[in-house]
Amino acid sequence: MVAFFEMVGGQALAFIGFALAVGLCCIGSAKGTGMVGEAATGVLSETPEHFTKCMILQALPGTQGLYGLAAGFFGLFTLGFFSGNPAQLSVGDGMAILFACVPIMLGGLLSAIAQGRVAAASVSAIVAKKPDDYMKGVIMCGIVEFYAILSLVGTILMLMYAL
Amino acid sequence: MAIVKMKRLRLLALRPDREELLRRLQSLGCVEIREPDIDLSEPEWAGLGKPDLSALETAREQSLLLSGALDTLRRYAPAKDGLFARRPEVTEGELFDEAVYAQGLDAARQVMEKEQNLAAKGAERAKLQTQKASLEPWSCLDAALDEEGTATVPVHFCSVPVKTDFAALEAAVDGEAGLAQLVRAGCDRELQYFLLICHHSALSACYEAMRPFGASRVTLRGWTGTAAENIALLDNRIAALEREEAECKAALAALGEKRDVLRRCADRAAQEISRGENRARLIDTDAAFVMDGWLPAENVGDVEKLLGGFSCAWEMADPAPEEYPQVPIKLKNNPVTAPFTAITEMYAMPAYDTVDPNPLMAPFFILFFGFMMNDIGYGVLMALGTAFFLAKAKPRGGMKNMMSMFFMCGISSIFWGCLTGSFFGDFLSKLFDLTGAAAGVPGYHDAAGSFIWFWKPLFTPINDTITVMIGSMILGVIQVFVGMAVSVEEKFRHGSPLDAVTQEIAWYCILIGAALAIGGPMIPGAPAVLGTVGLVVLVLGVVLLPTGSVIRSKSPLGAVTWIWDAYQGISGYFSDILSYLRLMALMMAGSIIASVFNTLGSVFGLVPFIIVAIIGNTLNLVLNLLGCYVHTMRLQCLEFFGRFYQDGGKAFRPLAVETKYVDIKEEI
Repeated sequence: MVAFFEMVGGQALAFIGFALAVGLCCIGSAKGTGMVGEAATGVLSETPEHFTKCMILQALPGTQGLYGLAAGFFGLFTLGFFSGNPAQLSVGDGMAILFACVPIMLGGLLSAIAQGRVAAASVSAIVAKKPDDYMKGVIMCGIVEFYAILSLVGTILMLMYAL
Repeated sequence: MAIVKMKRLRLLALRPDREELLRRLQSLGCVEIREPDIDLSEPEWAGLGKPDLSALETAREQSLLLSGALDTLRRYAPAKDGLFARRPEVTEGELFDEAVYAQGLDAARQVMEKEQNLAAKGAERAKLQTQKASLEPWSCLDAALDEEGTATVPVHFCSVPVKTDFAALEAAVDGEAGLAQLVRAGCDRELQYFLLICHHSALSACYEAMRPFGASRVTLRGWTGTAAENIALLDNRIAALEREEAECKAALAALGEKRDVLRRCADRAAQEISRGENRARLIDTDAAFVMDGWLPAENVGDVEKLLGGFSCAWEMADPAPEEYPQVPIKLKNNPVTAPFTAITEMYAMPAYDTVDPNPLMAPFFILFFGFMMNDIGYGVLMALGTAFFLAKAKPRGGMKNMMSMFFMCGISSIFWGCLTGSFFGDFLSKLFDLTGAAAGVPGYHDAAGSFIWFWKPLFTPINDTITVMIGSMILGVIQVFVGMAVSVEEKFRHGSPLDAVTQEIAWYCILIGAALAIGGPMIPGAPAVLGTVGLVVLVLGVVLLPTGSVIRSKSPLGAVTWIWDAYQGISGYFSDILSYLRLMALMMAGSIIASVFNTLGSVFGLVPFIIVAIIGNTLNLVLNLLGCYVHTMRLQCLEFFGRFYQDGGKAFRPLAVETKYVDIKEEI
C-alpha cells in the first residue's frame, strides 16, 4: 500500500484532488443548469418575454463549476505551478491536498444539483405563474448557494494551510 | 418610527352622495373600507342589501380591453421605455377626465379590431396556402382539375404512397388489360400523384391491380381549370392578403402613438375597479348606505373635513383590544428606516400595538451587509448604481425601498472595505505588482514589498480569520441582546413584568454571568472579583428561571418544566449565536473569490489580468449581492425577530389612487 503511494507520488495525489474538484463541480453545474434549461424551454414557448428571468435562474447553479475551477486553480497556484518551480510534494502533502479538495468536490457537485432543482421549480412555478415574484425564487436558490460557498471557503482555507 | 394608531370609522350617508363621497375618499387615500361583520342572510337584516355591481363589471371589462390593446401594441409597436424611463405626470383631474377616457377606450377598440382583422386575414392566408400545397403536385399537368374524361374513357385523379415503385405500378396496370394508361403528375412528402386514363370496362380491374400498391382516388371537387392556373390565382390572393396584413400591422404600429393614452386609461380603469371593489363592501338601505372602515388617527382631521361637506353621520373610535387582530397595520418611518419596510412586508406585518421592527433592524441590516461585502470597489458600484437609478428613474414603492436600502448597504460596504483595505479584492496589489509600481506607491507594504493598501488594514478576513470569527459572534450577541431588551420592554408595557424577569432577564444573568465566570479569570490583569461576580449573577439567573416556571404553572410541578425551558434556551442561544458565523463565512468568501480571480489573470500578464479581473469581479459582486442580501435578511428574520417580534397584522390598504403607468402630481 505504502509502496503503491510512494510510486504514485505526492504530486499525482494532489492532481487527483484538483481534477475531481474541477470535474465533479462541472458535472454538478451541468446537471443543475441543464434541469433549469429544460424547465425554461416550457415557459419560454408560451411567454418568450421572460427570457431574462429564466436565464438568471439558469445561471445560478452554474457557479459551482466556477468554484471548482477556482479551487483547482488556487491549488495549482499555491503549489507554484505558474511560477515555474512547483513544490516537491511528499505522499503526506499530496494526501493533505487531495482531502482539502473534498469539500468543494462533494459540496459543489451536490449543491449544484440541489440548486438546479430549486431553480427549475422556480422557473416552472414562479416565473410561469407569478413572474413579478421571481426574485423570491432567486433568493431561495441563494440559500442553497451558501453551502457551495462554504465548501469553497473550506477547501481554500485547507489548501492555504496544506503546505 | 412606529406602528400608526388607527381609528375605526362607522359612517352613515345618503345614497345619492355615494359616488362623490367614494371619489373624494379615493383622492384623499387614507381610509380602508372593510366588510362589516354582519350576516345579511339573517332575517333581522332583511331590509339591507349590497350595492349594484354592474359598474364594477363594466370597469373590469374596460380594463381587460385596455390591457389587451396594450399587449397587442407591445407586439406590433414595441415601446422604447428603457430601464430609466420616467412615468408621465398627470393631475387627478386629467386622470379622471371623461373625454380622454372615451378617447382611450375608442383607441383600444380600434387596436383590438385591427388585431382581429389581422388574425382573420392570417387564418385565410393559411387556408389558401394549404389549398395551394394540395394543388402543387398537379401543376405539371395541363388537364383541367374537373376533367372527368368521357363515358367510355373516364379519367381519374389518383395517388399512391411516395415509396411505391411507380414503374411496377404501371406494369401491373398495363399487364391487367392494356386498356389503361397512367400519367404521373408529381409528388409531395407523403404521396405521389397520377392520372388514370382507362377504358370503362377495365376500370374495376385496374383498381384491383393498383390496390396492393396502396392507390386511392383523389377528390378535387370545386376546382375548374388546370392546377397551374389555380395556383396562379391562389398566389395572387395570398399576395393580396399579405399586403393587407402588412397594412394592418403598419396601422397597428401607427396606433403605437396612442400608447400613452391607453396607459393613462388603463390606470383610470384600475381606479374604477378599486373604487368598485370598495363599493361592494358597503351596505345599502333604500336611501342610505353604511360604511365600516379604518383610518390612521393622524388623518382624522382631513377625513372629518371631507365628511363635513356631506349630510352624513359618523363615529370614529379607538379600537378595543379585542379588535386588535383586525386593525390594519401602517408603519411610519423616516427616510433611513422606511426602506426596510420591504423586508418587514416580505416577512410578516407586526401585530397592532406591538413594536415596529424597522428602526431596530435598519442599523443591524446596514452594518451586517457591509461587514459581509467589505469592499470599497463593490460598495462604490452599489452606491453609485442605486443613486443613479433613484435619480433617473424615480421608482416608487417596493423598488424605491430596495434601491434606497442597497444604497445604504453600499455605503456600509465602503466603510468596512476601508477597514480591511479591500478594493475589488486585492486588485490594486496585483496591479502594482504587475506594473512594477509597487515600491513607488506610498502606503502599507507587506514583507515581500507588495503593495497592500494605502494604510495598514485593521484586519483582513484571510489573515485574521479568528478575529473575524470572534467579531461575528460578538455582533451576534449584541443583536440577540438588543432583541431580548425589546422583548423585556414590550412585556413591561403589556403588564407582564414577571415574564420578562424570569425569562429574558434570567437569561441575561445566565449568559453574562457565565461569560464573566469563565472568561473573567482568563483576562490577564483582571481583578479576581470579576469571576466571583460572574458566578453570583449566573446563580441568580439559574434561580430566576425555574421560579418563573413554578409561578406560571401555579404548581410546584412547574419546576420540572423549567429543565425543558433551560434546555431549549441554551440550545437556542447557542445555535442563534453560532449562526452569526455566516458573517465571517461570507466576508471571507467574497475576498477569496475576488483574490482568486485577480490571481488567475495576473499569471498571464497585464491585459489578461484586467479582463479576467473585470469579468470575475462583476460575477463576484453579483453573487455577493445575492448572498449578503439573503443572509443579512435571514439573520434579521430568524435570529433577531425570533427574540421579540409578534407578527400577525395585515397591511393597511386604503382606498386610494394607485397608478402603474403615470405619476399623480398636485393640482395647481
